[in-house]
Amino acid sequence: MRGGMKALLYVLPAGIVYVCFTLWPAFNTLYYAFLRWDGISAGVWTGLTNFEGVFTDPQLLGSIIHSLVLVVFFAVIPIGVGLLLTGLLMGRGTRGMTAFRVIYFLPQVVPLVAVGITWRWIYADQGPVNQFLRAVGLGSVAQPWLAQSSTALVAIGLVGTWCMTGLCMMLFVSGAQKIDDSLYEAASIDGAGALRRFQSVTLPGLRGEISVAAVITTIAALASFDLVYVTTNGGPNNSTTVPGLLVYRLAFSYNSIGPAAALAIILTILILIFVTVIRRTTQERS
Amino acid sequence: MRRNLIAAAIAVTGVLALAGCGTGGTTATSTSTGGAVSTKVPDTPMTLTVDYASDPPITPLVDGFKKLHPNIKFKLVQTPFADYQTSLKLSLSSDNPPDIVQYSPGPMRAIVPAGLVQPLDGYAKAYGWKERVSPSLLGMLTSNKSATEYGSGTLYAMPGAVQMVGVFYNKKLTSAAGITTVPETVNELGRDLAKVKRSGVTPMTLPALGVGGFQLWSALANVYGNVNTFNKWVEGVPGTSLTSDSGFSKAAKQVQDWAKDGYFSSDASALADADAIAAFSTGKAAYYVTGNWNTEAFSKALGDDVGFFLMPGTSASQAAVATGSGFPYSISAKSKHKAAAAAFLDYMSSKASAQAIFDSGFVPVIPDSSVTDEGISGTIQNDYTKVVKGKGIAPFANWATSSMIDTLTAGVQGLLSGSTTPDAYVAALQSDWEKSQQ
Repeated sequence: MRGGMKALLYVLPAGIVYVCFTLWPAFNTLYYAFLRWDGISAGVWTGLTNFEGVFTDPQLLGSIIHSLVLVVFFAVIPIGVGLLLTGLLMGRGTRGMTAFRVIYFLPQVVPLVAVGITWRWIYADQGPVNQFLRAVGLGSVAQPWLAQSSTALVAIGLVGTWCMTGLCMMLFVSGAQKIDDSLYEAASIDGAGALRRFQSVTLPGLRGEISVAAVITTIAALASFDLVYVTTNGGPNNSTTVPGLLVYRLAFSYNSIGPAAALAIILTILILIFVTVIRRTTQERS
Repeated sequence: MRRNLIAAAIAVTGVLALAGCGTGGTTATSTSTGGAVSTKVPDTPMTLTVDYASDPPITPLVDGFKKLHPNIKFKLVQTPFADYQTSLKLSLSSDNPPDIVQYSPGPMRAIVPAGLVQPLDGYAKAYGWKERVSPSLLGMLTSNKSATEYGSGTLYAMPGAVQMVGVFYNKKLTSAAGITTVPETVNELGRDLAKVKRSGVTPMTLPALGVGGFQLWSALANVYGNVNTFNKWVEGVPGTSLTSDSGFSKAAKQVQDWAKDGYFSSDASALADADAIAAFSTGKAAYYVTGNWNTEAFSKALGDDVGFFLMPGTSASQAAVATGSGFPYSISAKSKHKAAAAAFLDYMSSKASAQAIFDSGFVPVIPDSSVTDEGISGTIQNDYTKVVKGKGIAPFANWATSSMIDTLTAGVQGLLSGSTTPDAYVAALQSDWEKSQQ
């Protein structure tokens, strides 16, 4: 019993930090979701009204749909491209591996706010993208990418793709390096080509890494805030609003802590569902 | 021994935990009514803490006041504007709040009902503030106790300098386009924009990602629509409607028409305010509808080439009007130095501070042509005097509700792309307004 107490003592400091700064705020958020509260004066219990609001307010519902679109650009495409790059880099003795890794991983090192502002300029009317299109005679395709509802969400999504691909590739390359060379040799002896080797040896060996990459990138998509905040701030005309942005606006600009907390709770549940599905589908069948 | 240590460790961490786990509690402070007060400035040494977002005009004001009252020291705490909105609530509800804060209508909607701001009526009477300051500057600083309706009730802040929106233009670019006079009507301004476009320069920079987009609409709404209706609407007077007057929709149509004519760059909806300031300062656009808070930056970049005029009316004889406000400051209800803080508020809006305000690029609350009427600052001051004599200063449209800034921004973006009709734009503003009235 004495030993148990002592063990508990060691866990205590970390435990208290976790309880105070993670569990307590989380439960407080849940509590706020049932209130009508401006952040200062006394709150009023309103039951499930705030949650009803999330599903009936077209703005709030729209933001959830936008974030689901972003999952395609933040998670699905980067994992696909990351696997492709890994396959190419894992071919026999690629030179300049380190250089490739640095180049593709660079977007991960730059703060997202800086990334966002830079891309806003890149996408501008007179920005590099349009200048390039005009230079190669595609002037008719040139357009203000972030300034029109039809292209803004996809344009933001592609910035996400640019950011996340490097991360996925890094995870996959380091995973692939752990795969036993003898497996590749055996496959070669059996007459497997490069494609077949990738499909039958590399891919199954990367199951764990793909799962981790999918979880990280999906969360980044669903909980995105900073990139959207600095590139379009939800515009034009609310075509790129995401839940994170609306939580921020509701809580800090509109003094509506209750609806903000309710939307945050729904977002958390959505993320948990996604993570559970991803973990289940990528689990190794034993 | 060891057992004691363990017990002590548990006790310490327990206390830390309790201290860390503050409940998202509520505060309520009793507010003293602004009864009889004295205008005597205390002569004991003291330090006033000031929380603010915008500088200038606060630093020149503080410097000027310190010269008059050497016993009063200041602790200045500046926070970037976007963060200021959120930090103001926390700092004023803390146990040790600042004495003076820059007033910001958004967060004040929660702070005033909580009783954290000192009502100033007593001081206003003692100092004679209401006789001195244009009533159009005090409208948004006066509200009922629940901060739902402005324009009447208790005074919660005093203006320290005047900010006003108008049309800045680059004289070099406009004269190159063959424009020799300042437009006297909106139609003339439209014709000038067309001339600049023909000269191959972007006529007007419009940062519709920031506040610049709807400030153009507001400026036009002030001349097309009924200013009285607009003021009441921003102040939240029950029963007001923007749809009752077609002028507001006409102003929206004007923005849309100018967009169709290509007077703004096509990426206007993705332009931030900083991008527009940069574009205008580097001569990439001829006109920019914005506030005099940018005067200093423009003068530095363009020198004598920068000019200013008020948004012209629908006819040359229409009385002058402009969007604007005072730069307002409030006193914390918990401040221990209210008399000194009130003396500072008095100094801000007195003739004594005019020179300091002027030097920082703003217009003093009491315009003083004896200080200066030269250069662009002189032009702006003279225009302000015209506005006060005319229809007065109209408040910023985004002050109408706490979510209006996003409704306005999204609405103007819709106007620019053509996906929102002028009538639908005004209806969206009205629906936001009505939601907050419930």
